[in-house]
Amino acid sequence: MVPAQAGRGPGDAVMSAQLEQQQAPPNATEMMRIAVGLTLTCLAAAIVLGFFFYLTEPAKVRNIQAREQAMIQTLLALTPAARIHEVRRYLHWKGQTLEVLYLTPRALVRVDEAGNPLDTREVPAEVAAEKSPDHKDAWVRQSAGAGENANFNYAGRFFIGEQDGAVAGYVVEGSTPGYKTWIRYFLAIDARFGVQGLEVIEHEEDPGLGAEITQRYFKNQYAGRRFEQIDAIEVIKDPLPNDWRKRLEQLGDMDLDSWVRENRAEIDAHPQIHAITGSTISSVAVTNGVKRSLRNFRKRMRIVEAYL
Amino acid sequence: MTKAPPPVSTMIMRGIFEENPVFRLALSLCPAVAVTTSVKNGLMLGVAVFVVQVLSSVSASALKGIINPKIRIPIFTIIIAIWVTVMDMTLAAYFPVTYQQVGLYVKLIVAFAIIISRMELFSMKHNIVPSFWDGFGMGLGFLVAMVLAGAFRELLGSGSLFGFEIVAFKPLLLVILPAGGFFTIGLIMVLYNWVDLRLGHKLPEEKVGGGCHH
Amino acid sequence: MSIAGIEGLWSIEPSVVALLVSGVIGAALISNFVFTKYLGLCVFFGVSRKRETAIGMGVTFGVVGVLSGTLSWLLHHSALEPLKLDFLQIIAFIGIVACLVQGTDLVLKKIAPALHKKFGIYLMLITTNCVILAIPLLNATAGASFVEAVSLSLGACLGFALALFLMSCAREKVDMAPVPRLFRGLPIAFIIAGLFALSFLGFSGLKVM
Repeated sequence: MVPAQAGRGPGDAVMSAQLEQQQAPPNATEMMRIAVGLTLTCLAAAIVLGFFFYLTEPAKVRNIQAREQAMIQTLLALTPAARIHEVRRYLHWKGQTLEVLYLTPRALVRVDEAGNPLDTREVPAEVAAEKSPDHKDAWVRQSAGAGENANFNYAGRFFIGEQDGAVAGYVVEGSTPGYKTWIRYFLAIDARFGVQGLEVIEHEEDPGLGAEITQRYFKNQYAGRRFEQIDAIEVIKDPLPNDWRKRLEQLGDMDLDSWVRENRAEIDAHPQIHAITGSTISSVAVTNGVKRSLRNFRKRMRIVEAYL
Repeated sequence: MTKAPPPVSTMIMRGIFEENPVFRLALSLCPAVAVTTSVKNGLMLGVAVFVVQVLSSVSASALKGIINPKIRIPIFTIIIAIWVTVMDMTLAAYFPVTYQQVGLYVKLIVAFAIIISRMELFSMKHNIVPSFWDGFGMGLGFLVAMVLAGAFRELLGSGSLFGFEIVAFKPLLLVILPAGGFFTIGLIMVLYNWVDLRLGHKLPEEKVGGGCHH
Repeated sequence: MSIAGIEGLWSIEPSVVALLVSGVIGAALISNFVFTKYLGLCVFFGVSRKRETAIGMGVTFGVVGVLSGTLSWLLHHSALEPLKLDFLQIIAFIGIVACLVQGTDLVLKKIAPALHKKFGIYLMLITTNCVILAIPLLNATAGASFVEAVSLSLGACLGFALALFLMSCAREKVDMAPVPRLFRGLPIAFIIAGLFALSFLGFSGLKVM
């Protein structure tokens, strides 16, 4: 135990080093030595970090993708053998005109702002099989003739779950400005544009408050509703009825189809979303996000369905 | 000019009790309030700090012969930044879910005064093995503080521990809110003071030059 | 930030001034770095005992914080991002902070020794304040534009200075008060900070834009 040092504040170590520097200003050779030493240290640091980066980066990408795959499989009730295709969307401003590009597994579709097709390109097999989104984006950028400084942006994606050769449903990735930062979510949609389920992937809402959006009793309030129902849905501040809450908690232990069959009357009897107690902002944010994602998806799907 | 280091048990107890980096030295408080809304997050950041502290202490001790004393502070900072980045990448790659919630704070370990002050006060004067134990004790002290605060807040704020339902009362939201974090740490400090009084020690506040004055 | 319209796509480009003001208010009040993000607490509790030191630290930190936030954004945008060197973020940003602190120290000493006498001590504390590092990191993860980055730096520094000032006022009063022995010093400071955090909850949900 060194009592003299126990009370030293965080700055003291730094301070004393400063004092020493003031007492003896370094001469020219020493300055050189210090400069070279610091440069070498920084170089060594960069090399060590680069090495670790190459070690962990592939694992990171793999883990994120595996997690997304698992989420999509759960949302659409797919077997591991099912295939999941990705469709990516890009915005390309050419001066004042906007072009939208869709990269499907088969084709790269260019449409104008109103959604009228301009042209399509065949997607090479190696690009379609590419795991890394960066490489896909680079290929699209190059195909679109967008240079380094062009106003060209990736603007979201959705997935198509294919089970035994038939489309089992779609999953849209969306984000909505929540109470603190962006809330990122996956929205599962069926062929008739009804909602199959919602899964929050990333958020920074407060635990016990906004973070409750990840709980079954909240996120399952969207499941099993038709397009028109979601389109007209509003958030209300009434407390969630206990019986309805119990039923919402069951979804996840049973599959969507049987849950909807059993609770159709209940779903229709509760046409609004009950806000989380004390977190109306987060609840409204998610609801608006779901509505927007669903409308946009329906519009975009009509453009790209011919090229899937 | 290495002094004889204190015994290992003293160093570890010191980190947990009389020189606990959070409740006693009041260094590295940011994460103690921020990520202790659940035991799991507290534990994760505690482990991250523990590993960075041990590695940094050992590296500083190993390199003390070649570090020019005039530029040791920037060198320390670079050493810490290396280990923090390594930790950050590892957690991001293998624990993506928890990492999302504590990611920013893992990166901010670089600015923790506790790590650099242990390097300055201990590692530069002692050999590798004692430095290892000193880092071990301090890191463990931080870890204990994080888990303690995390357990307290999760139990009262969400009625669970590690995500498992424990008590069936309506949880106190206040404890989970930012304000609750401050209250929790303050109350645990009071507890430390109370134990000190019972043992007949002087309170840090009443020692000359104690606490976190500048 | 563009808003995707329900019918078709249109985007609203807010003016630079509007972005700046909303960013500053957001970072200073709505999500104050000390009371809602819990950053910079060591320095916050360390130098908030006296009003004078709080003001000194607030001013010094403001200058260095805005400079480092801006410089870090420039470095990240011009070098780290295009070269895919994101993993060097932490080292690069802390390096910028260290250089700035050292540089400000030298310049102050040469130009205004009186100021240096007054503020030099706080300069050294800045490196151990996590707010200074959190600003560039948050900007980098959010992919902020230049105006957004500057407004976040400004707002964070203003918010930090405000928190310090409020806290120092309260602590000067508490020093005179008969506080129970167990609570003296840091514990009571934490309780006060908690009360401030509660009152700052009042700003939450405020929508500036």
